[in-house]
Amino acid sequence: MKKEILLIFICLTIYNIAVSQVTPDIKDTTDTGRNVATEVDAIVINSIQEAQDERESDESGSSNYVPGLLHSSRDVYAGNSSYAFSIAYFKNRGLDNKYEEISMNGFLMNNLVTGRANYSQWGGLNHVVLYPETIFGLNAVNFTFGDIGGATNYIMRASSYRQQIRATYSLSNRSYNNRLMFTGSTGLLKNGWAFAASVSARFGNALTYVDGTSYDGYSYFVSAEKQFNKEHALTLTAFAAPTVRGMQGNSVSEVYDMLDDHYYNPNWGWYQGKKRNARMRSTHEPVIMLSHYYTPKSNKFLITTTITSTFGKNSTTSLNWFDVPDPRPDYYRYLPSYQDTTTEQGRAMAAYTRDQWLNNADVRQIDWDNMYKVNQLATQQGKQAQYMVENRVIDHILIGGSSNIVATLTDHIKLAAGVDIRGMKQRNYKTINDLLGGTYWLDVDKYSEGDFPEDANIIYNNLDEKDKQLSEGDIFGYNYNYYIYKQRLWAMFTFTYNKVDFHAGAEVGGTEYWREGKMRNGRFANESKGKSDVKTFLDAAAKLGVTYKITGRNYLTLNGAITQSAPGILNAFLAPRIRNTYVSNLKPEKALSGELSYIMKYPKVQLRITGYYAYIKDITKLISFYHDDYASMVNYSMSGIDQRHAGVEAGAEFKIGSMFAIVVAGNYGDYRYASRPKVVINAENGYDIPDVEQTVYWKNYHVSGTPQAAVTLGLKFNHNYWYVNINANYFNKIYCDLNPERRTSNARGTLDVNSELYHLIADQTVLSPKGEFTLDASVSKSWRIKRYTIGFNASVTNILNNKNLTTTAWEQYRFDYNEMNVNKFQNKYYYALGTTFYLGLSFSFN
Amino acid sequence: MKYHSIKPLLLAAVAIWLFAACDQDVAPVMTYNGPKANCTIAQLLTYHEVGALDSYDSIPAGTVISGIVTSSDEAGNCYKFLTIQDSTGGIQIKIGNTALFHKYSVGKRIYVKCDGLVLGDYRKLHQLGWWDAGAVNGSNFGAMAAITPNRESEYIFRDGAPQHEPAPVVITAATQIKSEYYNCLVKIEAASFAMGGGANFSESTAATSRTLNIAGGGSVEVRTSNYATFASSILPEGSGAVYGILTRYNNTNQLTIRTLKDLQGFVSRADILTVDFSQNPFDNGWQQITATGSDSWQYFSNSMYHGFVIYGHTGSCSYLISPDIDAVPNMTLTLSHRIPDNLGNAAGMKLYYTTAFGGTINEADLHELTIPSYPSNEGTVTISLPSNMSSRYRLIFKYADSQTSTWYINGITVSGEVASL
Repeated sequence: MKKEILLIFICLTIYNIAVSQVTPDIKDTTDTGRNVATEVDAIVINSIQEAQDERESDESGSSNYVPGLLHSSRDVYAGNSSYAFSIAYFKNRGLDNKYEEISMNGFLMNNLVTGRANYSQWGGLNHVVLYPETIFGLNAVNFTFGDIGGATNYIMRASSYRQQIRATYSLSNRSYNNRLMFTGSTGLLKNGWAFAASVSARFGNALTYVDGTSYDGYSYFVSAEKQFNKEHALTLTAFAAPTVRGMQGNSVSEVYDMLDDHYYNPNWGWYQGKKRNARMRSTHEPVIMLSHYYTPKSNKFLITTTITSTFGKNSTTSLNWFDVPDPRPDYYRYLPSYQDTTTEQGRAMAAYTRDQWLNNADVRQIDWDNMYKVNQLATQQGKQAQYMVENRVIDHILIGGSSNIVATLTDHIKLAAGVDIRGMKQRNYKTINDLLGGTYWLDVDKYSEGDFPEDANIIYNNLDEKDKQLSEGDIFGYNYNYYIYKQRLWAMFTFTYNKVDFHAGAEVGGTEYWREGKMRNGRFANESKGKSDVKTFLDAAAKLGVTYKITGRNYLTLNGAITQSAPGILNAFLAPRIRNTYVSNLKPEKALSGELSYIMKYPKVQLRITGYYAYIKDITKLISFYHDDYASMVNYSMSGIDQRHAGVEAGAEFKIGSMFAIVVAGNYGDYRYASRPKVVINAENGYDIPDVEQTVYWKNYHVSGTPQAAVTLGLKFNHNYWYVNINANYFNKIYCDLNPERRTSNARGTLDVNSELYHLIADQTVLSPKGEFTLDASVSKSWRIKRYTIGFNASVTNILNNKNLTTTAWEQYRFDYNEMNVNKFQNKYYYALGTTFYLGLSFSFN
Repeated sequence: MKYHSIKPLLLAAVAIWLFAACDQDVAPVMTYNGPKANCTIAQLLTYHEVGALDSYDSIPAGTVISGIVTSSDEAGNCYKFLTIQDSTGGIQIKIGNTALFHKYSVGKRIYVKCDGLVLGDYRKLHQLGWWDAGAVNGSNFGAMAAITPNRESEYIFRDGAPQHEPAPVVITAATQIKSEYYNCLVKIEAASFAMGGGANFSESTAATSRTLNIAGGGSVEVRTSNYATFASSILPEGSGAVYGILTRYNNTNQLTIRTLKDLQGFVSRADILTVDFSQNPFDNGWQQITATGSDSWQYFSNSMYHGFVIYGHTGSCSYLISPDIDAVPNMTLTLSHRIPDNLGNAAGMKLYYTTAFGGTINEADLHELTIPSYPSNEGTVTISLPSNMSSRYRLIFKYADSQTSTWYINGITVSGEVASL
């Protein structure tokens, strides 16, 4: 028996990850120093995540960034790089976060609409959202099937928290200044009950890094568990993180350069002596989970069953206007570059504009007073409000259940399998948030007005309530629901032998979805209200892997996966806000992925080097933006996007004496588009754009959204509960996201491939071709006095104050066909924050 | 198996993954694969005979024409139309779109499927497009109308990369103009604007005609839109060749030029270097090098006099070097100098040019320019510069008097022939 246990242990080591035990070993963690050390990183990662959440991603083609998972810390590459790389929005293997499965108590938390887990649902709950089981890459998982980006499961049950009372205070200059967290847990009581609760608050903006941003977040968590006997346990867990944030917006280089500030925020302006942000995001999306755990007396298997509901709203405000100038300060026509500098008058205007930008806060920022003034005048004249703040609301309810089994079939064979079913309704609508002193609003499409003088109905967004004078709180613009159902069955066998281990598994499932319009839109009266067709897709996946144990300390693993999944509903409709029409040729997305690793484990040296390859086929993508030429919101519906992600990642750790270790971890990737997708353009105001499918010639261009090359060199110190980490990091191969239109035959026209203008239009911008360096340091220490533990931690990120590391860059989705001037609609950028710090004090009693 | 033996395998596998062919994709220039042209432009024109009033005729079903683009709205003068021609004639196509020059650049072959289009005329000029029966046209109804941009791709197809524009019809006298030249590219030789140097191409309020006289006899009207980017440019002086698309307005021959590049050979004299002595020229590219002695060229400025000056002594040698000057045809140098009270030898100051100044003076690179007469006190002389200069050069004044003397230079102007646009 001992031999088998040993074998299993080796197997675990090989994977570097937990093909984990039935119950997590958190209670065994008596080394409080380690807790503090890992918590420093956890806190910092969370705070980076929070800062990044705050950035709008409306127009950027790249998705929200979620930092790599700290707690794959048992992996020598991931554990040593995830925090260091997070400043640059590094994505492992360049893969979108939707390719990573995040679950809680075995229940998948990836949002059915976006495909990505919404970390802000548990923001601030760092005391209790801890120590996940994480599977890196394509290895076998036992709590879910896992996607090509890996899988993570958080244990959220009261009995998993040891008995303690814990309080933490943190001070930071990132998204918020203060965070207070307070947690109490009973551990498993003799009567079989366990209780845990946690509250936190994040607030204060006196020190925050980006002007005009704000943060008010409160989080709560409760969990109660009853272990009826050795076999059955039931846990009820509920948590949420109601948060209101003032967002950071992005801008163009011209503005950043003019102001010499990479953190210029166009979203705010002075109002009544205070900074008022036009982009306020409010979220409150509670999660309630009821989990049942069953282990028979034989201890041969564990069944975890969880029923979950999440519901609530998240909403973001934004300016809206009718028949008046664009109120956004950095609208391209308000910049010096818009002036025609070939004329004397133009040069004078450019100089004047520049001077105003530098010296007049009402030009540089949103001019709220002007909007109120304009609205007051409109009110006097009996007209509708000309400016207002709208609130874009996403209101969802999800109900689902999952049941997973982990069973030891023989000494050599283990089975993990599960079923899950989820259903979700998401309502999407806009309300009038603030009329800014105006009296009413008419729900007409401001962009349609000029185009259809003959058809009076065409301008109305809601034909059923034409000419209704709307007030604050009323719904307008669009109003529709998404319905999505997803279910699946999966099973994974792992086989463990002396020289060779392998695993094989498969998943099969289905996805159905449809849209239900709640408004009859004047432009698409017959295809906007009511239920759309229902689309059904087969989801399927298979994974296979083998590990060859060269010696007890040297291993080779080869893993592969093939998947097919439904295209995301966000990309499935041609103009989802107003129409029930699907993108033609909607296909499931396919992925083929493989990895080959060499792993070395010696007491003094640990190393993993992995070559990986993933080919993702038939990605569908919808891009929406305002197009001046068509005077309309325009949708680019792209299909047939293929991406090829190949590269090498490696991590190594060398211990020097008992106190020091040197770590090095890096990734060199090559992520490119591998096909010529099709794009169909349509305008929401009904502007008759020829329904011509264009080909986008962007094969071999780089996929953006992450540095493709990154390396960190670190020094670790650990002695007597002192933990010090210093990391020097380098990033390169950072690319700008592409506007597909610039790579079509239309945009090329007849330009010679060798001409300068062709290259200006078609070449992809490489950010910081020489790469960027950052330096981080953190220190923590804890003292244990009887049953009290006092800890402090401090971390400084980007000590050298490098403000030139681009985290997000994209070309605007406009192209100036008249002048072929690529600088007319300039690239937009976000930069990583300069030097920031996090100081924490914690106290616990157990 | 030791890990050392595995490492190369790993590296090889990784290399295969990484070094796949990765050339940046290139969007092809559009090509046309539809039915070939079955009608020449001359044949097409026979379907509509122009009359007293604007009118139109239909075109037989299935007609496809092909031609090379000659018009360009790059400068805004060929506004919302496209002109193409084949070896038999030319035709204007009305398209309600701007920035056509990018899609339909000059020299590009296009095909036009004429089904759904009509052939008509505007003031006797043939046009291909739509007919708007309700349009008010003078005291009548009905006029040619433009194909709307969203329908453009149903009729007009691009084929391949642009070639050279077609060779123009050369016209040396107005009497040579024939009706088959309308909507074709022409080159009018030895032409001069009646108002050259005295008016702009177009008034700011409306499109304007300017008379272009032809040396061989007669004239045409150059018609320019007030929205053209060169509308406010001054008509060039002198004479030259004018390219353009020949059109008509009833019985008046008109020429539509596309950009100012259509005017060639028009030249006028202009200053290409003048020294502004209100500022120190040594801050603006002038420099001086003292070869022997301690005398140097200096900048001198008071309420009466601004210029270069050297107070020289016997045995001194000092050079004054101009900034780079771009050579143009027929250059002259006008020099104002003054020898107030301490006249030296006429040979005490010499003038050279060099195309090989690299920061030091090498006498072998200097070519002397003879100053024909030195004034007794002050005055101006004009010197012709060599006609064979073809690149950038510098002027070099050398002081090397055999006696103590003072030389002032208070005016240096190089002029030459530059395009008069």
